[in-house]
Amino acid sequence: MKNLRKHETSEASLNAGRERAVEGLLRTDFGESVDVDLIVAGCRDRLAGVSRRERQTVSAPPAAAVRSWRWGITAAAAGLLIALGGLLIGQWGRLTPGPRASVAVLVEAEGSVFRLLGGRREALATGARLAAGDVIAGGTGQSRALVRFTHGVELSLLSATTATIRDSGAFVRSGRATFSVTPRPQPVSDPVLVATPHAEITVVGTLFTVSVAEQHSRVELLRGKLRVRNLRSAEVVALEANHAALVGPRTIVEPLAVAAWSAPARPARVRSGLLAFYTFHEGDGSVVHDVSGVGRPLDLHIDRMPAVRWLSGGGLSISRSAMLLSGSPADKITDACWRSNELTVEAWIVPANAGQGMKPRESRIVSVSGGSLARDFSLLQIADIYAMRRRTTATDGNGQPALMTGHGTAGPRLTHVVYARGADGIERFLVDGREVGTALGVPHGAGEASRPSVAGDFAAWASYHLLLGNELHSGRAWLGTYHLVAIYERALTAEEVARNYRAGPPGRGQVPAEATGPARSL
Amino acid sequence: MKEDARIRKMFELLVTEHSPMLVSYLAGMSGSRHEAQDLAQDVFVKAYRQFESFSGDGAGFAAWLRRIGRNLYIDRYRRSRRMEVRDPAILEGMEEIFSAADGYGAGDTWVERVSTLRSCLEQLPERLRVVCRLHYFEELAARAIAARLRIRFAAVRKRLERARRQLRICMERKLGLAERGLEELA
Repeated sequence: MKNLRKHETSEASLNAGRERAVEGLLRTDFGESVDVDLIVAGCRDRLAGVSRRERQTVSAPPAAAVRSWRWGITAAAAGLLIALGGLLIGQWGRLTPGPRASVAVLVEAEGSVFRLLGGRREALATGARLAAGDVIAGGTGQSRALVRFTHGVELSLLSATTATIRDSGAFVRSGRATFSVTPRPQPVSDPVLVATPHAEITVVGTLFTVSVAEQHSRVELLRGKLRVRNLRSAEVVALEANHAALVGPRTIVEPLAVAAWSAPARPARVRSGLLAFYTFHEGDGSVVHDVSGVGRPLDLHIDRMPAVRWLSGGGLSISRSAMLLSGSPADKITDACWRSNELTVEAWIVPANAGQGMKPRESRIVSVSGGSLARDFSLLQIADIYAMRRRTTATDGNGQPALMTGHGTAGPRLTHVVYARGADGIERFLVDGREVGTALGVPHGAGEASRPSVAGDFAAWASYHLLLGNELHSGRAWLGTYHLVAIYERALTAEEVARNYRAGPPGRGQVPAEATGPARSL
Repeated sequence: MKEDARIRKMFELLVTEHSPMLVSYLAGMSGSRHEAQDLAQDVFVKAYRQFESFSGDGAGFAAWLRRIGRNLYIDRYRRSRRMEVRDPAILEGMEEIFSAADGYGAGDTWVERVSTLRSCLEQLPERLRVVCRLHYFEELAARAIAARLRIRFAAVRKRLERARRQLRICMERKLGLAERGLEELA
């Protein structure tokens, strides 16, 4: 019986796999809708980055691999070339340069940040997409740029830094520069590489800073491990945490003074499961860009410009009723959450006051909804509390009963608010990195933090637009300032929320306190 | 340098030839053609770098690319919820269809060869075919299809499910996989 069940399971999985293959064929219209030119151009760009690195490496071990590649590719391609004959000749015409694939996004830019194009400089704004081979530079004044790669690596470049973007890392070109990278663990077979004129650094999941001077490069390692190769002597050293390597004519390793880390880099934000991300760094215009780099950007359009004001240094302040509405339904959010049955909504905000949103006109901070009576979810401010309505198969179509924090949680101060719901139905609110007590349908009273659960799943979610600051066709305005909004397809853990809290709002520096310690009862 | 350029050109020809197959495979894994196109570029670059580890003929090259693609996809989405494709039986099922398609039909290119499978789609009942086209070709979410066709969301899901099953059975028959399945059950 057991074996029969196992066989049935295996057969069902096998069929599921075959159906996935069928879906793949359908999604590309049996290969017809694949943009081959785009892929060829993208490969060309990514390989151009590889070539530069190989050329910059003095003692170049890739030579053997290149020889092997030449031999192998000749063997594999020979049969193919014969078979394809004249067809392949026809394909040469398709190898014209196409649009370059972006490998990274500029997610934060303070001061002047440029892309160098030959002898010209092109000013870059937050949200700019960067391709392999792009050279970016910070201005000589106070400037800072945070670049996020599609594979999760983040580079933080300070003033007077010049770096070339590569598909698997970066090359710090010249001048005196400081540079830090906080990558997620990388596959051993394809590590992140950071290079300078003197050194090549293989990243093994770590946090470090590189300073480039004329005669040497200094690598300071805070945590994790690094392999540093001296490009002149080919000497390789394995660097341990809290040590520095000075790479010049020879390599010197020394313990790192604690003082060197008096201003540690902000931790990288959690990216896994991210669906939509807004940093409000546009500075002007009526569009807030989705800089998540996930799927099609879900940009937001401001309906009443006189009611809003862009803040220098980042942030969008709403002083009168206004709405930020996505240009298309938020299907990438609803579809992903429908599949996962999990959700996290995160915001760095400054409410205008602690009196807005009194019932029955609760102020809408972040919503995916179709009006005041139908929604997938809404993060609300009701006077001095935060609340979340999310529709499940066990709630009504308006997401009631809402999950509410206690009195005094919401007020006119910079606040990090996070709501997370797991597939098990457990919901939690975290304010400024700490979990706060919640209750269903009424504000949480004084006492121990509680974590109620709401049964059901997201199967009833519908296709609505993403809205910030108000409700569609009704007066549920929220007044205040947005600094960041992020939506995830999964429930972030308390540790991940604390990490995002420590990362701080974009462009606002480090938050003052560590987000640890016991839950705060309200 | 000239030799490098020649090798690059040959590599680009391989990319051109195998992209439709690889993107289709990755779209099956990821559920998104755009995501698959992005991932395919990583796969080709990785293949270029690791070519010394490939030991096979032209037909094996496609399977090798799919293997790299599968591993890259799993690496990239290790922490997400989309990991049901890590089930070996699901991966095997996908590979069965694609490896059978590698040697299927007549034509110079993979696209030409698999185009004959399109008749399976045309054989679907109209109401299933319409939902399929809206969902996979026009990339409409199930909810949007329900709104457009004025039918229930659950009905859209059911139709998509039926369409996938019927297409699988039709393609299994065409690719010669149905007999193997029967043998396994016997």
